Amino acid sequence: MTAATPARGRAVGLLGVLAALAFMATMTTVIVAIAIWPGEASLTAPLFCDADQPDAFVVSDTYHPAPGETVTNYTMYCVGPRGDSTEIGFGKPFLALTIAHGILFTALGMAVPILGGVGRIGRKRAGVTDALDQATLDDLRRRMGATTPSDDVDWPGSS
Amino acid sequence: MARVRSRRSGSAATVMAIVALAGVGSACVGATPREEFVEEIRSRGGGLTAALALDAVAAVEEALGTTGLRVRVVSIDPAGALVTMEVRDPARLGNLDLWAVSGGDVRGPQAVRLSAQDDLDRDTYAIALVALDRLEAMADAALAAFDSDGAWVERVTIIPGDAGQGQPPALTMSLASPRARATAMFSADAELVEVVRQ
Repeated sequence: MTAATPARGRAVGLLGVLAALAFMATMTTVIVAIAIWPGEASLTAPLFCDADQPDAFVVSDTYHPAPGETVTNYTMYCVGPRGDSTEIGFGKPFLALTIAHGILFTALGMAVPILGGVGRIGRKRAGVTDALDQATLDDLRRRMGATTPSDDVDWPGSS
Repeated sequence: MARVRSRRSGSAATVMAIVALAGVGSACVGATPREEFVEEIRSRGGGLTAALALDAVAAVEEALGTTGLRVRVVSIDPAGALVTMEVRDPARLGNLDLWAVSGGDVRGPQAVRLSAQDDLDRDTYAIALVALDRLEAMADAALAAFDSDGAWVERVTIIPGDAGQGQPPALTMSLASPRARATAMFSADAELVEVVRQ
């Protein structure tokens, strides 16, 4: 029973991370693929368009159902060289983009701690080296009778 | 600590502002308005392919569980990817049914009312007699003969000849451009007979 608690905690934590990741990916897709750059959906053409209809178009239909109200729908089509087209819709590209954004966030989430860890190790090593060098210099100064760093000191190896 | 919080909230506000401005200022980036998309389709020839017709025939044959359809009038709308055909019911040869195929969806049969003058032996023909597999070459030939900038194929209609007179079915192609219209007529074996400018 006591052994199961940490495992359960880890599972709950993992679920929380996955839920947060799904939320972030969905919101990013909503903001990017609907509000800012609907054409992002055309990046999913290799997933949904056949070789004979390789060109993806995200087509916008804008309506004004009431004065001052504007509704825009997006639909992706795969188009062939003769103008033949197949309607893909927007749901499947949206889902694919959400998954892609989720993968991107996961990669970033893994890369940042790794890069941060490398940086910390580098800084730590540099700090130790500086401390050693400073101690060595102080020791040398004491031995040579120098009082300030500006004093002319005949450092070993300098002559 | 307060300064850190202030910086964080400031950064969040900046990001939100950028997103809002981007959304307002550049919505629809990469999207094609419907009118421009239709123009793009037309600039590529209108969307007529042999696969559109052949797949529709195959779909109706599958729905009827037979091959070798006999039809009266076949109409192809490339822009809407819609094929409609009047098909003689292979189980009841005195009946004619309307079938429609669009985007892989098959609708039918819908009964077609016949008059006393209709003779299905005379007015129907085997769809295999029409060179549907050469529709693309036919469209290229028709558009070249039409010789009008930005032309496209609006519709294809296949009508019966008079079987009693030994006439095979004929295929007509409605052509359009921003400046003119024309009708191209083909024999069933895909030979261009004439292009009549309207």
